[in-house]
Amino acid sequence: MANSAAATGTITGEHSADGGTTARWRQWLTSWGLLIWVGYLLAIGLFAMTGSDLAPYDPTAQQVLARLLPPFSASSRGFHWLGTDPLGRDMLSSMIAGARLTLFIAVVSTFAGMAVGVALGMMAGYYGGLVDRLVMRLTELQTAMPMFLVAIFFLTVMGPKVINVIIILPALVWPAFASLVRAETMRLRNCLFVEAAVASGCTERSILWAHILPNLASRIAVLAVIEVGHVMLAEAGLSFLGIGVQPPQTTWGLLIAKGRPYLAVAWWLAIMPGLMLGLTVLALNLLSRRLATASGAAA
Amino acid sequence: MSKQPPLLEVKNLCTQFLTARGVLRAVDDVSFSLRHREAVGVVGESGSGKTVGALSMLRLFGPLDKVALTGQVFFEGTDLLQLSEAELQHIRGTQIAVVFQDPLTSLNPVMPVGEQIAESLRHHRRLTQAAASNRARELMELVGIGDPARRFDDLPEQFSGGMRQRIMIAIAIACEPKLLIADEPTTALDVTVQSQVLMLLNRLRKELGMALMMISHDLGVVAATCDSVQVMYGGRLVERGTVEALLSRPNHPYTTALLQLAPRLDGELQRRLKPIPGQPMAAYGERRGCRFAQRCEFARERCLAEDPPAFKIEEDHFSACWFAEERFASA
Repeated sequence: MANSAAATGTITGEHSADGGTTARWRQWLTSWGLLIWVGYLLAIGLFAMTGSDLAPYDPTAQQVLARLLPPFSASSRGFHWLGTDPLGRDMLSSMIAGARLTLFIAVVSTFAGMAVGVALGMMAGYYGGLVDRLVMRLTELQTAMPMFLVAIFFLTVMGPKVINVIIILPALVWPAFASLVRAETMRLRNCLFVEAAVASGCTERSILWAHILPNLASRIAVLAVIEVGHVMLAEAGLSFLGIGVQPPQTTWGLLIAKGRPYLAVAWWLAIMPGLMLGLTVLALNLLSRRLATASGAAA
Repeated sequence: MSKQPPLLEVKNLCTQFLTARGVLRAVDDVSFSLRHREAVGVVGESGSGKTVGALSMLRLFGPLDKVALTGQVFFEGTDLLQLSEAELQHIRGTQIAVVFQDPLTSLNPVMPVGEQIAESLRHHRRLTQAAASNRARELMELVGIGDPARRFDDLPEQFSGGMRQRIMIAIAIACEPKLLIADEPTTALDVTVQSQVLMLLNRLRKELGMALMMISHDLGVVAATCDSVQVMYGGRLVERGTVEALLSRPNHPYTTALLQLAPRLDGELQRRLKPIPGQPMAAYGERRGCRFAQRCEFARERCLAEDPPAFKIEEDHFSACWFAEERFASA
């Protein structure tokens, strides 16, 4: 699957003078490998949106007689594709229910980090000087510090709440946005069309918003898709350590944590949510690479 | 000549860039005035300060340029150099507009062209989205873009160079400025397209009653579109006069040399073009004497020691050469 996506990716190089964009998008849409990944992501997104409504069973319903059933086995309630947990709850249903919070935290945190990173990056790149030095020192500070450790410290002090997770996760991603946007803004700032916009009396605000930001949009989108995956992994890590999301709320990371003690007797408890998480992050990465090719931005 | 006060009056304009290599005097004590509806050509070789001079009037510098500006630029009586950034923002685009050299990079690549024309109308004229779009279509029609309704949403990459320059011109004239500064508007274009764009600029200037400042290194372009010419050398204004006077009675040795460089279609075919020997003077640090003296075949001691002022040699004809009158009499 991944191979076919990569193979068609190399053919996309041809740009015709007119209708180039349309042609690129058509090619983009007709590559089947990618379509499967996008379908997978859409399904995850749908699960996240509808919560447990699409789950075959109530994810909280316990069933003492059907404890730790392996995948593809049946209980008195019906068929369990991915098996059951120590309390007899359906794994697939739990994972579908967990998609909501997993995705919510990842998307919201990425957006928050993106907003901060893009704003700081644009200011640093456009104004330069002191603002630039300040922002760059901040990103260096972030890079130099083991941010995951900082997140652990923060959550230990502030308490393991979803809101605290959403507060600390953007700190992990904003520097990536800031340095990308800064470099691009510096390049665009010297473009003649920005000078022309100044010459026609545009305010700095409208230059940044209407002229520079739209030129960055595709690159920011490409990065954001990757970062959603990174944030998802970070959240899973925190939840795994027990300082992230707390039961009864659930995310994939928490499911992995709860399955870990049973690894020897019931491997599916940890492996299945882990696989789903891994596949989602992989799909996001592939999508991001494809977006980069389609939009003409180098990844 | 009418007694109307000049549209633009520049007095002792100096632009210095503070660079790592020292102070760069890009524009050095330039004074001139421009009447309403007058078209002036500014010619000079690369680095002579013609573009920087025009951009200095509107303080169009990058946020990182360290610039020292002195002098006065009176536009309809107000000194542009004394205005705040916000006040100047209003002048830019509404009173004075600029068309840049390279139409391929002067347009925002991700914004539909119609939107780019409408932008300044909405911003400066406070037009609604619909009214601005309508006006933008009219402007596209005016600058000669066929089927503006269909092309409104096209991106710059879907236009040719000449068409993009027409769009740049449409943006510039959107708010009907009193002065249009065209910075080498045809340099990046094919010869055939050049003349079309020049004709367009000329027609629009007459229709809209704008003054035009045409920056070019091409005397032919200036002769075809302008009423008067300013010749710049090394940040200095060395000669100014009507097109007719300057082309038939060039006074400054630099202008004379420049004219000898222009190939002529109506002259003798065997005439060899005569290059100007030497290099332009380094623009860094203090400089004394006539900027052209080192390359001038008529230079004497005084030229190297003292800066020549602008001598009036006939009506509307000035030359900054110590021997201007002498040369005028002998010509």
